[in-house]
Amino acid sequence: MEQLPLTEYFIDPNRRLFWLYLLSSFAISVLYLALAPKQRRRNATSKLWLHPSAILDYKYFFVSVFIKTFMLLPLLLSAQQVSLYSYELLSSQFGYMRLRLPREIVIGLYTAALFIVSDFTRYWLHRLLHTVPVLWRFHKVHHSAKVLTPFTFYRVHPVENLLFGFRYALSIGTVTGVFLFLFGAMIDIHTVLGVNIFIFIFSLLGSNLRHSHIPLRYPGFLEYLFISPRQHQIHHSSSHFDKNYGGYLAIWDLIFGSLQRSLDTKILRFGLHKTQMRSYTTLRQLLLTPFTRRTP
Amino acid sequence: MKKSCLLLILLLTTSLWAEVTNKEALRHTYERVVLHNIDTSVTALHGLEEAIRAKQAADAKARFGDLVTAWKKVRALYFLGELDPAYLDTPRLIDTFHHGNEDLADQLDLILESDDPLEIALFKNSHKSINALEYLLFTKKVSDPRVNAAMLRICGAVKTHLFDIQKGYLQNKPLFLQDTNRANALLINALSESSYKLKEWRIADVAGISDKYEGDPDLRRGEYPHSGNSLQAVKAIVSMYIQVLDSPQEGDFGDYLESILAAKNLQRIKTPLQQSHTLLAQMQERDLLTSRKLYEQLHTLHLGIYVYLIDALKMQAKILDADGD
Repeated sequence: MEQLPLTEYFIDPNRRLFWLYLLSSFAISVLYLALAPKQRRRNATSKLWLHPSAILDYKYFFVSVFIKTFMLLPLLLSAQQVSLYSYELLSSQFGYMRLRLPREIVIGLYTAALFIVSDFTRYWLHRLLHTVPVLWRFHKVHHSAKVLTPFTFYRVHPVENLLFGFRYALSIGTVTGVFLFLFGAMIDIHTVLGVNIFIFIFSLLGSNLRHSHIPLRYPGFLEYLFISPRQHQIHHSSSHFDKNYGGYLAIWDLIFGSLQRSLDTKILRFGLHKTQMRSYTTLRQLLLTPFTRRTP
Repeated sequence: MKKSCLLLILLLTTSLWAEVTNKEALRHTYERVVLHNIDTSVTALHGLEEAIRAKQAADAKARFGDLVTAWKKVRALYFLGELDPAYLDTPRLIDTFHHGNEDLADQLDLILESDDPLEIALFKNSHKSINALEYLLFTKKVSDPRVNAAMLRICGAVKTHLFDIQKGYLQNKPLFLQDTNRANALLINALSESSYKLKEWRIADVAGISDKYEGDPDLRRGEYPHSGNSLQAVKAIVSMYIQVLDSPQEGDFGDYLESILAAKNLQRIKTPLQQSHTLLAQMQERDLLTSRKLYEQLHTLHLGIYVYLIDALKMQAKILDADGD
């Protein structure tokens, strides 16, 4: 039985909108709002969930799923191809190599390497999307969201999807090629429901709150290590577009000087400047504005 | 809800079935390949020992070929050391190909010329290897008492190691079959290692197509240069791959791969394996000097094993979800 591409987004644990992640984010939100009643009015209102920007997110999600499935997927380089190429390159340069470590350690190392390298390349691609003018034109689509909902995660221009797809294939493929070269068949991934355990834990702990109005902070030093939902919300405020590029880990922002902790930031306004927002209010505009010469 | 339950049951049944097929394939490989091949090696060595004892040179030389065939099948799928580290180095005591850089022929000549008792003179492990045996059998007279005694001593040493391996595999069978994932990894790692060494050491170096010996083919770089059994060793290794991956018997590891791999990825293993087998059937020892086609097929086979590994990792096409931040 073939599933509709749209349904898959809610039942596949590899997707951000997997029902369990949505449920856990909802549970965290309920707990948070119980402890911070002031935030209730803002979050439990149709003004947020039916805001024109949110409605545009929902529509765009629907359209983008089909664009990605039928137009982008066939164009993408696969991580499998990159893995094989990396292995071939390494073995042609260094001959046959096999490191002997207990299998459990190899699996732990590989699982962690996939997560860390992927998060690192994600940081840099995200940073480049902000700092290279031509890329920023496409990334503005994501930042044009005036309110944040879990669906804003999918408010991404297809060109950006393509770039993230190549990033994924190159980083995951290279790590896999290196591990195959060093450990051969000993490699495997620690997974929960078929998802890298690190990604699963972070997703369960409220990845969906990154695009929400629940200003959940991490205490003390934790925001130097992990990006809290609030830190990502800070990144979405127009005065802090150049901060907190990180995905799950904050250490890249810390190392490369772009970290902004929640405690130091007060008022947040999401979206682009008023003059620019006019160009990102319809589906058509989200898809075509980045290609127009005079992007405001 | 009903649909989800059905889906879950289907998923569980499928994965349970895959686990059973996998376990059966591993058992098949262990019993019909690993244990069978070590038993054959022991039998081949007995035959060789008898022929040497009877000082029948021609028979001994033919039986040495049988030992090479049987032993190479064991060596190229050796994973006993991973099950029990005590057996990690045992093959190196039997086989010196690409281990150490000593001139075995010179040392053996000196030993034969000396009057030292053989139990003292043959003091190194390499002096008691199959490679030492090959040198003596194919360059000296089997009827010479000292040569004959040296060869019998070597046979004794090799036999001890083969018995060790046989005993080790028998003892560790339950351990191997206990963890299916680990067993798969051990088996595939052994295949990937031997397929690399097969194509690079036994083919490319001899044919002068490796980086190190480019344009300089030389049969002396083969595994058994004195007896002309280098091609036989290659054939033995490829026929072991067929035992594991494409045997006529039901339930081999190839059948298991067929149940989990995409057809095109399975062909990336089976096609070059069959092509290599066909090419080898037409080759003579000297053809190793011009074996580029065989090298290419074995290279494809080696990569095919990695395609399986990558496929088994089930890297999701979750690429498109890595966005939006």
